[in-house]
Amino acid sequence: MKVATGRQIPDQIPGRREVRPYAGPFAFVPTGVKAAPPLSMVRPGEKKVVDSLREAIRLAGLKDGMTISFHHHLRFGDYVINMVLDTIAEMGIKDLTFTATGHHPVPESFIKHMENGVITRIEHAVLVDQLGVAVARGLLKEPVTIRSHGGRPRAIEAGEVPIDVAFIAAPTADTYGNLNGIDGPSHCGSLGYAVADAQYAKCAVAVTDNLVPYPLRHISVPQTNVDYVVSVSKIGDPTKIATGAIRKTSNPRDILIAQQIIKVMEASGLVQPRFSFQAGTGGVSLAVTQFLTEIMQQRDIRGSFLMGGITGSTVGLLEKGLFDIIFDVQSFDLDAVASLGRNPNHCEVSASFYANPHNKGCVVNLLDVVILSALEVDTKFNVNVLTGSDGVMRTGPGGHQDTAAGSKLTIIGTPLLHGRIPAIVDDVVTVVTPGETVDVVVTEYGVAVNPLRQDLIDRMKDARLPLASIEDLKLKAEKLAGKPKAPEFTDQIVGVVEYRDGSVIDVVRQPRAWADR
Amino acid sequence: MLFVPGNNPSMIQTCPIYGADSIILDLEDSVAVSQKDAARRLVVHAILELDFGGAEIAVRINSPLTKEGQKDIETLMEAAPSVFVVPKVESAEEILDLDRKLSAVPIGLIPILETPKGVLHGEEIASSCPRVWALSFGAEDYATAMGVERTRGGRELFTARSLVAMQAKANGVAALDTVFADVNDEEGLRNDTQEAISLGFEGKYAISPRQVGIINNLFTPQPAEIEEAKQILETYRSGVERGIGAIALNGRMIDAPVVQRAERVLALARAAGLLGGGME
Repeated sequence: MKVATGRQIPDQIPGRREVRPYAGPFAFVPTGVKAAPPLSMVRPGEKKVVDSLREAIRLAGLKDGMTISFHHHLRFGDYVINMVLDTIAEMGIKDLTFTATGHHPVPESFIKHMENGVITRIEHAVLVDQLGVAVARGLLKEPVTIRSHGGRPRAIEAGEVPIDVAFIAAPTADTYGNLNGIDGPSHCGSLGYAVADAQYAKCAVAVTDNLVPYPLRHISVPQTNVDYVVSVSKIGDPTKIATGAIRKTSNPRDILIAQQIIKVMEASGLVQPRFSFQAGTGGVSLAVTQFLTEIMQQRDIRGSFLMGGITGSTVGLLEKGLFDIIFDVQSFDLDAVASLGRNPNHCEVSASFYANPHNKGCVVNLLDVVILSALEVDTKFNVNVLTGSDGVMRTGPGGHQDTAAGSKLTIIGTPLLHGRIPAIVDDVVTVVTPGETVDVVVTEYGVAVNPLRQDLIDRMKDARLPLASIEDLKLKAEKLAGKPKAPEFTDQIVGVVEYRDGSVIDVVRQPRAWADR
Repeated sequence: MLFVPGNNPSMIQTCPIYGADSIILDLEDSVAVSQKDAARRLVVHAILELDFGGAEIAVRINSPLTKEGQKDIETLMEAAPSVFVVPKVESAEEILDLDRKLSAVPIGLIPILETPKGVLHGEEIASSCPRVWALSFGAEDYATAMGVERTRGGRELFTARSLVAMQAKANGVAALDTVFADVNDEEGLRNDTQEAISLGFEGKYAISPRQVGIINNLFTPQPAEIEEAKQILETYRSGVERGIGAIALNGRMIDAPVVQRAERVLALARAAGLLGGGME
């Protein structure tokens, strides 16, 4: 069947009850009610702290075939995921469905657990390192489902991803299961992505290296959602969890792209008092944040809220009085962690609050401007942030679909080439974010406005921007680097790309290069 | 004018996007001796094949007094960049010798005066032949030759810098200022560029794309300057039409030098694309 972007997807996909094709960013209206975890009871005097991870897994009742979940707030410093999987494997439990909210380290042991049948399904993850390759090799029974930051809590709340045991890495936990991410040696800041898992899992196990007496002063995940607490020696490597302040880029190409982005923002007319803004943590985004700071100070503009991966740069905007509030679903550096702990205007929010399209209103609906990146953009403005040029899934959509759908102005900032590979192409390898939600593409060689946005095109005319059509940018990329050969695929589907509303927007097939390995 | 190492294909390919008026493909200081052959070939290919947009293409050759410099001249005559930037020039004879070698090939010359002897001979170098487009000053080698440390404030360069600017102006060629070596010090670059402007330099070398925007902005007239220049010219022309000899604007006498400066401001503004048609 054909989806609204023009892509063809299969009528049936292994492991998927229903294949609802993507029909537009707000075409689908949900019906029904939310799922709910079982009722439970804890009597006075009963303790939640258990002696070991093994004991917690036993008490949680984990069995073959169940679903386990993890958050990714400890990022590449996470020890918990692999610690839990190793323990589960030792206990002989297998055929599990794994779901994680984002990036995490993928050591050899993780792949071994896939090869040995401990993990046989992945219900959303970010497929970095060897995990993407393992999926491409066809190690899993069913295709991986890829969801956005908003789409994942939507699926959990709708009961589409019933989690049996949520393992929640907690930088600090009190003895009754209140958790936060701002205290402790492995502090990571916000625990926003863990909230849905804690709320909806049948059982939630907190794993901490900083167990403190009851009660915790700052509560990110409340005791009412946590069943057991396990204390271990270390939950992660602090040097890889929250880095020192992420420094602004000195790359002149990124700075040039950022300068053009600022001109686009100003020409749009959206940089006004009370405007809201979200940018990422890459070099271009950090440079945009710096230039935005200067403009807002010069024009005496105060914005309403900031969102996104929160860094010291974002905190700087708040502390200079340029914005009222930060909504923090993920903290990226130590400045952000510290700010969350001390500033009442730096607010921790859940992923559902941030981006779930099926609740009573998520923050992205109120966003004015978002700056995003891309692996590829095609001439229909569709964006690929998932598969590399070799067809292997290498990363994940994050909040890309969500912010692009909600924001009044979606700007993709990307170099024209990634190395020697064009970033602007005829057709992206995988459609993750549909072109109808993308407004402007800014490269160092020119700026392309989506023809669907005639209002923006009219505004850009006097902005002294190097305007170009998306086709011209594609031709420029091809002139510089040549037209790359498209990757070849088998018929086997290894990944399903869900749009944030649960529809299927594209599928990822097995790269032929990995089929025979 | 942005220096780009001649042995770096990635930088050569991307340099046109940064808005420099001229791109100097460098075969001298930024290229190791073992790489000079390869750089030479790459630069020739780049000039012949790549689209540099509206930027002028220059090549800093090695000193013509060296074997590498001789090879540069022979090889690059084929590609014929707009201009050679010639390092460590100390005498008019060097320029005349190069002029003879280039014969009928239309390549301009921009000598860099970077030794005390070179600075003192700037007058004769500037006037040596019509190929000389500009004089430029090279502070790093000059400071080394003088045995002084280069400072952020640049006091040790003031005399030489002023002399180079004067020699250029006296002989009707452009004056181009030296590089500012600390690419992370944007404030220092601004101060150094302001100093160059105040001494009469018309352009400045950049060693990083990050410096181009800052230098361009400072050399480009600001809106208030442009407006004032327009008012001066309008007042002057009005006075001339009415036969008034002594013309004043806001209490300031408008005489020939003031008019010339105003015309120069508008010429720069026009070149930067800040003016449309009309009285300007």
